Amino acid sequence: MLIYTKIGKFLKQSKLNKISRLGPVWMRFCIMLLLIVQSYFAFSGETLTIDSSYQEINLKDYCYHYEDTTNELSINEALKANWNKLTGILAFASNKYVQWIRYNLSNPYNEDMERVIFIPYHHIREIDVYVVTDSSIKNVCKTGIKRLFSDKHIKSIGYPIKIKLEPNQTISVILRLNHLYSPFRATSYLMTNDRVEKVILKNNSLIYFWRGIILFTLIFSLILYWFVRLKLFLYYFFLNMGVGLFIASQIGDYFLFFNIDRTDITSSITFTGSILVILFFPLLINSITPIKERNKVLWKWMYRFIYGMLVFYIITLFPPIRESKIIYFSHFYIMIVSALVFLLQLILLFKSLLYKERNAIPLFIIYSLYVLAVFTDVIFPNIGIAVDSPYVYNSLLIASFIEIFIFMIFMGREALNIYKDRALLLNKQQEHQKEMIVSMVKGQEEERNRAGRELHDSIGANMAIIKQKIGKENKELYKIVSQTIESVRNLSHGLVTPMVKKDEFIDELKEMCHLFSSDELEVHVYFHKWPEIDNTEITNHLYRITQELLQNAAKHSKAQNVYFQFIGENDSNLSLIYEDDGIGFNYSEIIPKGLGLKNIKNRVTLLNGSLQIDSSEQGKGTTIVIEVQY
Amino acid sequence: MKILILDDHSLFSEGLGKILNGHFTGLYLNKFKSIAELKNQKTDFNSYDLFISDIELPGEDIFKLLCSIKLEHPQLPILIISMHNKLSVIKKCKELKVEGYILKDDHELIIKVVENLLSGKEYYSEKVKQTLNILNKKEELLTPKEEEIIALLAKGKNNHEIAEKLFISYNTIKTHRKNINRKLGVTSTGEIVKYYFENYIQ
Repeated sequence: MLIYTKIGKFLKQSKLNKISRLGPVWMRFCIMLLLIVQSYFAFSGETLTIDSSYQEINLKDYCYHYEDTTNELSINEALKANWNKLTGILAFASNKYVQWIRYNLSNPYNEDMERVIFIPYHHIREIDVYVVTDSSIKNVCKTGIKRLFSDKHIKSIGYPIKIKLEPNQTISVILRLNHLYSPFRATSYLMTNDRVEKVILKNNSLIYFWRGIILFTLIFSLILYWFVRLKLFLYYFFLNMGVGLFIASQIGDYFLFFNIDRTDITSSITFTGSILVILFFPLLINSITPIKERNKVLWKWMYRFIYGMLVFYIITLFPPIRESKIIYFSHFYIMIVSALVFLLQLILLFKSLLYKERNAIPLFIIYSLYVLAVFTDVIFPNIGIAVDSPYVYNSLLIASFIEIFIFMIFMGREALNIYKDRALLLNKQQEHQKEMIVSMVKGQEEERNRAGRELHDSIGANMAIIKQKIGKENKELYKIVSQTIESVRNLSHGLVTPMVKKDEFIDELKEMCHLFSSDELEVHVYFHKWPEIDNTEITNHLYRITQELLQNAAKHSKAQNVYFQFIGENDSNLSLIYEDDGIGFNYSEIIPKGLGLKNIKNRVTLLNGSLQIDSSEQGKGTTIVIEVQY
Repeated sequence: MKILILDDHSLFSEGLGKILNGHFTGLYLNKFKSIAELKNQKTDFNSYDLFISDIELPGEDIFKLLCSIKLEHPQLPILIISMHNKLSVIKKCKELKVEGYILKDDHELIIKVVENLLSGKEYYSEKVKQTLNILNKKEELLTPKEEEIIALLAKGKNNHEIAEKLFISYNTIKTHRKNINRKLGVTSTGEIVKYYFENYIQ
């Protein structure tokens, strides 16, 4: 019955109408039989009559398929084979042999028809295109990634194959697809020239955009890692590197740099991309929400599977293995493991959700969307649910945009938190340091005050009485006691914090410098526009600093002259300049040990001032400049 | 003769009293330990010939008292006997026109200074006078380093060269330049050089 209807259809469409007028019935019948037999070879199967109103037709309904188990059939042999109608889209998940596809096309019009068979998937090793007419079998095109691209007009992803139909001609387009042992897809569309150009343009625009985004993301995450050193950014970088490599190899970006891929390096690049994604995606998620902690066992097992994938990956890096049967098995393993890993992560995230971990909810939603996108692109087509559009990589690209964008938000948040924490920590450290200095200085002051007062009140006064009672008779003792009183006075004077009233500061300092002067050391002090300072903290610190400097000068500098300058400016800046003509000192040696210098430094810090020390051991003296605001 | 003694150190007041009694006859000494005590007794300063006091009275402001004495009883001579040889204290006393100031261990001078004050003269012990002299110390306008700097500037050196020559850092040189400008009241290098030639080259 089928054959009758087929013949009937055929009769209507063909030139047999003309033949029917030719000769006797038996001749007609024989010719018809011959033609039928011939056409059975040539045109077995349903034919697509190309309606010029359609710009684009999905050829899946007109697809006939033959699996070449020898992998060696020629076109003539293939034509004689038993072709089966293929249901569903052209996706070969389990692909062990060379695949032959055929489409029967017919041009119902009285003029030439030019069309393009567009195969949007790019990763196919070899494609041989034959056009079979009543009279001839022609090899129209040899393409695929293992063939040179430069002499083809292919500058886009996918393969646009030009075919031409003469008026009222029926042809059979036969594709020999050699992509042994690796799964591939070859859904084809019949399009007008304009339509193909539009599709290619749209694809290209999206791909340019995608390339820009991926490059930006990679650079951005590297920069972030460089500055913030958070592992999160490193994982993000590798994840997107993987995504980028995977998608780029699928869409044929390899051919931006090379003209031919003789050993199918594209597969390795795709595999590298997948490995990176699978390795780093869980790590990335874990640094946003702690899934590893909660599920140590599941995590361990997940990574055991992943390491198995790594083994396969290393093996398949070798070119001869890439096109051998081993790939067939590794692909199965990879598909199963990838699905498992993705699902395991989903479970881990779900558990986090239950425990109400931070960031778990948004991550769970995003991850679900992501998995959905992957399923849409990879798994549904293999089951037969297909998206009827030549933009076959869109779902992948859009999934990558979603992933990039969403994780960028998380990363931005983490980076901000890190900076805030660091700033806070730094602040706290500085405050703590300041507090320590304050308490040190205060403690010291209190001690000194106590000692000074004790000295003055009891010892000094008592000494005066002793002196009185000794009288002038015992000259030596008298002298000693006098000197002792002098020392006690000076000492206590030096120890007690001077409650220097604002108008007494200059006199106090002049006196101090005078007291330090001796035969060996002369101290000069100069005041220039020194204001009356209300803030006793400032005056006290300056007093103590000057004291410290004088003590150092007397003890260490071997100087003969010391110059102090106290200079006030109109804009509330105060300068204290110390200069001596002594032997100088080595700053880096002294600064860890010298208590006096440390004291000065502490006090300058407490005053929020600046300290500059110029000294060397070359005997050219020492200059110290302290500047303070008040 | 009535002498008023104010010192919180009673042992000292006793000693002082002994010395004075040992030299002067007909002395009437009134000793107080604090200004509060003095005020409580409603002391009449007019009846005294001499007021001897310490500077250091815990928790009390002696200068306020001295000020009021000088205002209300200007004819009463004041003698300060103190442990302190502090410039600011002595300066204040001098400004208040306190007649006498000696240190507590100058006790051999006590008689002399009391005699001077009672006869209307002033007496500041040597040590105290030396301290006061500090105020009179005159300093040069520019420090030796600053003089070196302007000499080098007059020779045409720039800040970096000066820093190298004098073994000081560049920043310190800039600070010195700033101060020189301020002290001399100038703003430009030319004015500095002018000052140098006017004042340092004979």
